[in-house]
Order: sequence, then structure tokens, then C-alpha cells
Amino acid sequence: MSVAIRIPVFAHPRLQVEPRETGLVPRRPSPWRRLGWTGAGAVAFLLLLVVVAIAGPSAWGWGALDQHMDALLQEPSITHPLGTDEFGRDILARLLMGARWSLAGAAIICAGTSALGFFIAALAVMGDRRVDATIGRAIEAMMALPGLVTALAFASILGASFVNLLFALIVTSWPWYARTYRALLLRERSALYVESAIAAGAGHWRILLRHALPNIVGPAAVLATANFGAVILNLAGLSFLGLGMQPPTPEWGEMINEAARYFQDYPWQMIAPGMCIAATVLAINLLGDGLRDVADPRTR
Amino acid sequence: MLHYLAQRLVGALSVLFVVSVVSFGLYALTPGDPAVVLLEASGIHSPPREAVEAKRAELHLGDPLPVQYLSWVAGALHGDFGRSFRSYTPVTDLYLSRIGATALLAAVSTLLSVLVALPLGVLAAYQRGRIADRIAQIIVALGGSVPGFWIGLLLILLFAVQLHLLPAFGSPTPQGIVLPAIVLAVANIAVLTRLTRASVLDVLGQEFVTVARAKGLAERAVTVRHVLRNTYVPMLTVLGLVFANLMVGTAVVEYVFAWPGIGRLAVDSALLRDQPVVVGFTVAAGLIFTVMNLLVDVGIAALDPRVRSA
Repeated sequence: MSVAIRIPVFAHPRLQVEPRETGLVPRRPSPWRRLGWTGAGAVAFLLLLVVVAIAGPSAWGWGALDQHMDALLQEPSITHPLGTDEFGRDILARLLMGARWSLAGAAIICAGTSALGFFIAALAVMGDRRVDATIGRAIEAMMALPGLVTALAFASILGASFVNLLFALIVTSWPWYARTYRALLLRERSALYVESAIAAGAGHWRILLRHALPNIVGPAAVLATANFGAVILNLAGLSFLGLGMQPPTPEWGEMINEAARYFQDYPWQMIAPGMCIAATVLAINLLGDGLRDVADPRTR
Repeated sequence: MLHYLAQRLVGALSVLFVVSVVSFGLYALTPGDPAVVLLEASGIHSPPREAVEAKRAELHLGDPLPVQYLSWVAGALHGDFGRSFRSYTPVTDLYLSRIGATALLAAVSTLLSVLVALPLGVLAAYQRGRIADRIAQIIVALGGSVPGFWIGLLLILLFAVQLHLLPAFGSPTPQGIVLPAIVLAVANIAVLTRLTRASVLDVLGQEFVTVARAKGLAERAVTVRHVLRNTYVPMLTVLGLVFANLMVGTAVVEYVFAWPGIGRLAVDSALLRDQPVVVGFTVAAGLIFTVMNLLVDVGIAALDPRVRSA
């Protein structure tokens, strides 16, 4: 294995000059440049998507739930750019509203999982070896139960609903986050600033939240972004099965579920939400890859 | 070697313990009175009081929870996971009659993804930065972003509705398995290609590859004997996970193609609130993952002497 030895360029303090003035050292490229054009494009697309999801439903003339019995199952036209469904509802209006639910749902799952994963990792890191080993075993065991299993169990006990599905996916996904956070926190625990915080008399939770958390927020964000696309796919799949959002509220997966009944004669109804899912997940994955390259250029 | 395997076995047992606690917890949380529901499922409508009491005693519903857990585990060890709330069929029979179809689909799909991903990943690594690599990267990015069930519907539209080449509804026949296997392979091809490319690149940077080349070995021999052999361990680990994931994760695609597998059974049962069958799926998932992990560990030990001695 080749070992890259980093030679500090300005090791001697007196030699240290402002690189920008002399032009000796190329300026470190901006994060945007390092993200690459795919990453930047992905950011632009996602920003646009968020704006559309927030403003779109009220800006577009048709309502997502309004039924028009005189315009059932219409082909795309100028009045209905994506056509209408079997209740005469405008598909574009439903897509716009669906963007809200799909994105918000995935965001809630990612945030909830991050918080739960951080909390459990913190317990493992702060506890003694026995606590740490027990949590480690629990993490390993919970990884053997995929999201579908818990989602099904929750749906069976509490009934199928969007909130139950979000809850089920948070309860299942935390082990993956907890494992990463535990590794990150263990690295921070031996850092000098933690020692000085302990010496200054700061409590465990204060050190964790005020000192350690800001130091791991970068890698944690990369993890959450890389996972966000998978969460959207998972959510859409389970909604497609009827375990998530219930009709008539539109969500991209739920829309495909409703459209699947007519898909041989009216394929456009299920193609449109599927393309929305694919484009969104693609953008998020490209952004995730870009962020990972920025955070750790060796993996490129 | 024995020490290593014993360690893995203890780990597997502790995982199964947690899975059994979670499964029993889900079983105990069943809303309503299981005794009444089961009697009604067996064909007795508005069962008399004595029958309900007898059923409650049979199910040990009056015992404290830890005792119930132990009798549940005792039953589970004999393959008894209770009966369906709807059809009154034993849960074990339901799964045994359907697990073959899912295993077949998972195996064919895993094989298909390896056959595509392995050459593609190796090619991408050797052609790093060039056109073949770019194409592989696009395939990886797209494959990981498209919802499988949606691709399934599109493929049905193209091959079954338009071209009449393949049946729209899957059945465990050679023609019936093509579309569901492809759909399930798409996401895994993305994962496996990325992994193969990364591990080949990693190995190509090692000194023994330089040595092998320096001693005049043909590039093909370097690839087969030195590079590929060193990618087996990460490949095997991920393959085990991919197969296990397919065994429990085919539900959405089974639903699209009306495939008679365990995933669809579990989803249908959850929507009907048939708790014992859903709990059976939890147990099945835990078992499948544990067994696959053990097999992978044994396989790694067989392939890599460094692991055996550790």
C-alpha cells in the first residue's frame, strides 16, 4: 500500500505568507466548484422542487381533491396539462400536492431517525462498556428487521396510515444511523476540546449537544442526504402497497397505486408520478455523492 | 476457525433472541381478543362464553407476559406460530407453501444482477474516467433512483400489453419470472456495480498488483488471479445481504406481478390485520437474515485465511 506523506508547505511560521497575495498556492476551490456540475445542478433542481411543493398547489388553478364529473380520465390538454384521473381530478394539481407529502414525509423520517440514532449512540458512548455492548447487540439485531417488516406490523396493529408509516420507518431505520453516530462520537470523545469541557465542569449532555454535535454535523448531514433518496423510494413503495397515505390525499406512491388500476388504458397517470420520484431521488443521490466527494475526496 | 465460528454463532443467537422478543411483543399487542377472533375464523360465529374461555386457556392468555413469552418460544421452536385470524390455517403452513416462489425469484434475480454488475464494475474500474466508466456511472445513478414497482408497471406495459411477448402476471415459470427478476435486479445492479468498481480500484492500487505486473504476468492473469480474488470477500458480504434483502423485500414487486410469494402474503395479511401471519413474517425475516449472515461468515472464513486465524 502506498502511503501518501503530506509535507506541510508552510511549516515554519515565519515563512507563512498569505497565499492569495503571492499566488504561490492555488486557491482552494469553492465548495460549489468541488461539488461538481452534477451536484450544483442537483441543488438547483431540489431548491426548485421545494419552492414548487410549497407554492405550487395554491398557485395552480385546479385543486388536488376537486372532482369534476364532466372531465373523467381525460388525455393531456391545455386545460389539464397532464390529464385527469377517474374522478376528474387534475393530475398536475395532485402531483404538486403529492410533492409536499412525499418530501415532507421523507424529511420527517430523516430528521426523526437522525435524532433517535444520535440519542441512542450518545447513550452507548456515555455508558460503561456493558451498556455499550448491549446497545451494540441491539443495533445488530434491529438491522435484521427491515423497514417493511415493522411497517407491516404497525399497519396490522394500528391500521394503515401515513403517520403510522412514518413512525414505523423511524423505529426501523435508527440502527444504521446509531452505528455511524457511535463511531463518530467515539472519535470525538478523545478530542482535546472534550477533555477541556469536562475539566471546565460541563455535564454529559451539554458536552454532547453543545460541543460534540456541531463537530459531527458535517458527516451526519452527508449520511442523511445519502439516505434521503432511499427513504423517498421506500416511502413511495409502501404507500403504493396501501400502507401509507390513504386516498384521496395525493402522495406520489399513493398516486401510482390509484393509477395502477387503469394503467393499461391510461398509462400517463402512473408515468407522471413515477418520473417525479425518479427525478427527485436521482437529484438527491447525485447531491449525496457530490457531498461525499467534498467531505472525503479519496473515495472519488 | 472453531473459535471464530462459535463467536459468530453466539452473535446470531443473541440477534434471534431480540427478534423473538420483538415478534412476541407484536403478537401480544394484537388489538381485540385473539380467542374470539380465532374462534370466528374457525367458523364459529358469536362463540359461546365457555368456548371463548377454553380458547383463552389454550392460548395461555391468562398467564403473565413472561410466561406467555416462554410458551410462545416453546411453540416457535416446534414450528408452531399459531393460526391465521382469517383462514384459520397454521401460519407455518402458509409460509412454507409460499417461500419457494420467493426464494426462486430472489435467487434468479441475484444471479442476474451479479452477471451484469460484475463485468460492468470491472470494466468501469479498468476504464476509469473514460467513456465506459461514464456509462457505468449513469447506469448506477439511474438504477438506484427509479422505483422498482414503477419499472415493473412500465415493463408490463411494453412487453405484455404492447408486444404480447411475456405474461403480465408472474408465475413460477420461465416466461413468468423474467419481468419480476429484471425489476428486482435493477436496484441491485446499481449497488453491486458501484461496489465492484470501488473494490477493484482499491485492489489495483495495492503493491502486489504492481509486483505481479512487474514480474511480467499477463494483464488477464493479473486480473483473474490477483485482482478479482481480492474482491471476493466484500462481494460475498454484500451478495448475502442482497439475497436476504430480496427474500424479505420483494413484497412490492410481488404485488405488481401477482407473484405468489411470502411478501405479498405478509402485505395482504397486514391490510386485513391478520396479526399472527404478520408476526410470522417478522420471525421469517429475522431467521433469513441471521442464517444468511452466518453463511456469509462461514464463506468469508473459507475464502480468507486471515479471517480464520483471527
